[in-house]
Amino acid sequence: MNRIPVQLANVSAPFPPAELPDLSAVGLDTALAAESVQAAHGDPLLFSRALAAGIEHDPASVTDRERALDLVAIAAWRAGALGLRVDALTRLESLDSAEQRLAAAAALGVGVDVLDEFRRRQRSDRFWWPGRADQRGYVLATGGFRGLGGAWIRPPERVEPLRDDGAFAFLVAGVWWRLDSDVWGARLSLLPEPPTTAEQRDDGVTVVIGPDTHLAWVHVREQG
Amino acid sequence: MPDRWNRVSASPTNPGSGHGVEALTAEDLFRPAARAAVPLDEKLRQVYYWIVNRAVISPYYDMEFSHGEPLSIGLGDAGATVSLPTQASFSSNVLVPLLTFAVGGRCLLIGGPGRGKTTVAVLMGVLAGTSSSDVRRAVQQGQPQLTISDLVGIPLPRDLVGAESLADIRIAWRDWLGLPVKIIDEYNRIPTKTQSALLTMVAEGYVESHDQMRRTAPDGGVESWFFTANDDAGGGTFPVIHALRDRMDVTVQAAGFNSRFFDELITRVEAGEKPEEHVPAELSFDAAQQSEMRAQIRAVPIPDAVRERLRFFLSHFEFVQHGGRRFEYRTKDVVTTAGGRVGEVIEANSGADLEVDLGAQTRNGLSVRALQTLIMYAKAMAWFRGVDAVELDDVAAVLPFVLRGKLLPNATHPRFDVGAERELSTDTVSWLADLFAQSCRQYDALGRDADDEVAALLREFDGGLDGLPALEASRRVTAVEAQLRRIATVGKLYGRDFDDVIALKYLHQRYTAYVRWQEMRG
Repeated sequence: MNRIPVQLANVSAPFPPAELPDLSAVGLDTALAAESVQAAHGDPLLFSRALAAGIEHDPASVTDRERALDLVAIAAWRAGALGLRVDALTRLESLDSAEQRLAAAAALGVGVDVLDEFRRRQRSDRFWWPGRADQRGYVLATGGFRGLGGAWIRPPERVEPLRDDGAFAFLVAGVWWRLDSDVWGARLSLLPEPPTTAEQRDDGVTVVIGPDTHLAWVHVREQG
Repeated sequence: MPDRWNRVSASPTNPGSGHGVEALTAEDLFRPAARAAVPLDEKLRQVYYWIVNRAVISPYYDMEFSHGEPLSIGLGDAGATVSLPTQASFSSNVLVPLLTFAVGGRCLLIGGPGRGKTTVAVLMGVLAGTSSSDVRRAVQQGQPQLTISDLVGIPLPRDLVGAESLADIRIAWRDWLGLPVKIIDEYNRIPTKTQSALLTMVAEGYVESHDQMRRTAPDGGVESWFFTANDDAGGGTFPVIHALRDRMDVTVQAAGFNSRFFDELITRVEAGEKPEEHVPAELSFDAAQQSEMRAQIRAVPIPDAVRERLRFFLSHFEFVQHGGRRFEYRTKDVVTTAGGRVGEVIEANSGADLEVDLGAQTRNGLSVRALQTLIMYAKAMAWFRGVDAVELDDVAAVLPFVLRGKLLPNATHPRFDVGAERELSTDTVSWLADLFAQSCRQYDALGRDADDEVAALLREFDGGLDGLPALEASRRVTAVEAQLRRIATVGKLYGRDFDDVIALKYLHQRYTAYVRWQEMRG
């Protein structure tokens, strides 16, 4: 049973170990990008591996700045940097060649055969990835007990949806927290005051909390 | 260089302000500008987390912050509890020295040998931009033969022979005097005479030898001092002179080693590494940044609500019934300076309720210096936490470390001799924290926020006397006298009443003098 926060899409080691690729030929400092990914709450190690996997399938990106930037955006998003989501999805929509599509799928850690479905479903369902059904609809766990490296000292008491997609508010030990999330990443931050909550949406997304767990699980019910 | 030393918190060290996620593009990931503009408070937090996560093995979180009641779990059968705070909490043995570095203060680190006191102090020196080897070399080791010349330098022998006056003698000053962070190891092993020379440096910021003077603070910069000692109870080769001890702004205990972190210790021994040799360059502060940091700290406001509770707290301690005959002389300082024992005078006051009278728990009052230090460190704590104004929690967090060694426990008070409370006779920090909490509870019980007539009279006086009609001044004299009579109706007198009575007498004097002046003018 999971006791620490997790993105279920990352559980089965989606990328092989790899060094951070060198894109200096197109004037890009990937070490700096990895630091920026970390600052944007992504995982720099995952970024390195996702980028390396993408470049392996499109060697031309090492000498083509725009193609390299496509893969950087996708790998950063895949590494959990939520801020890159829009840029990465935009770039995914405009891939020209078969190599680029192959590289993009590799950087996402999905098969190229599901890339089109991934793009289509992500437009309306930010929590979709091909393995979600295998996880019975569960996508991620957030929070966790502080003593085990999580954020909270008590189980969350309430959860409320917020206006932004993938955003929820949690009341924990008298303090409100905000969760921003999608299939690849989740970020918790403290709210300075009680949030303005939104109406429940009919998108199948629920957050499961319980009195005996410090984790909150994001779950998506498959639409009929 | 091993990577494990180089990890600095890249993400904000505060859990954020909850405004969602900022959209980025791939190009944004290659812009270092955003990284360079780290605010100074964020940088100090990065330093703190680097030290506790990388440099000093210190899993202690004794400076606690919580919204609401923290989760408390009772342990064992002797009343021990562990509390789990709801907000970011800190290790005092790292944070208190770090705040000292930020405000340019003086910190006394105490604890048994080998507990990392000197390492923490040396890290502060490296943070000020001095190389680790220079900082280590500049540490002044206290020892019984340490002379003033050893400490400050010697007159040039050629000048001693040829000089016709003291002014002609040049001094070869020791280099450490000019460093922004000064470290004196085992200061209770330094001979008394040398301690006096040290006092001048610490208190006045200069050193004198053969009529020559050298300022110790860097030009326009900030200097901080770190002293270490194996105990704080008068031990050591030489007793520490009172004036020097009183200059210690804060006193903090070094933490013991936690056996669960033994593997890390083995790794360090095997690698032969010292943390001060691996401080990431981006974590050091230049002189301008240190000055700016101190200016920002000084600018943190203290709201009225916090001021009132602080004012109430400090009112408890100066007064002692039977300390003198004249009302103004009924103070602990009068007793002490006359060679009397405050504890005995407190015991002689059979009418006082020792449970209620917080002043009875101490054998002295608070000095103005201690109060100034408390204000500065409370501001530093609030600034470090990234809050806009000092909160009561900030005061509560730093107060025990500021008042340790300054507000002294009255060992004859029942508090230190009954049941589980006996623990407080050796745990000064917990006692001081509890004393402040008790004071805040009394403040609430007395309803001081709503009912503080003396404060109202003082506010009225703050409006000034210019143009005040004599009739109104006479009315205020009557109000002052009425307030004094109101205090007199309560049988028992406490420290808070003492301060009120003195303030009322002051108002009475000012108003009656004004009325007399008006009468003389006709």
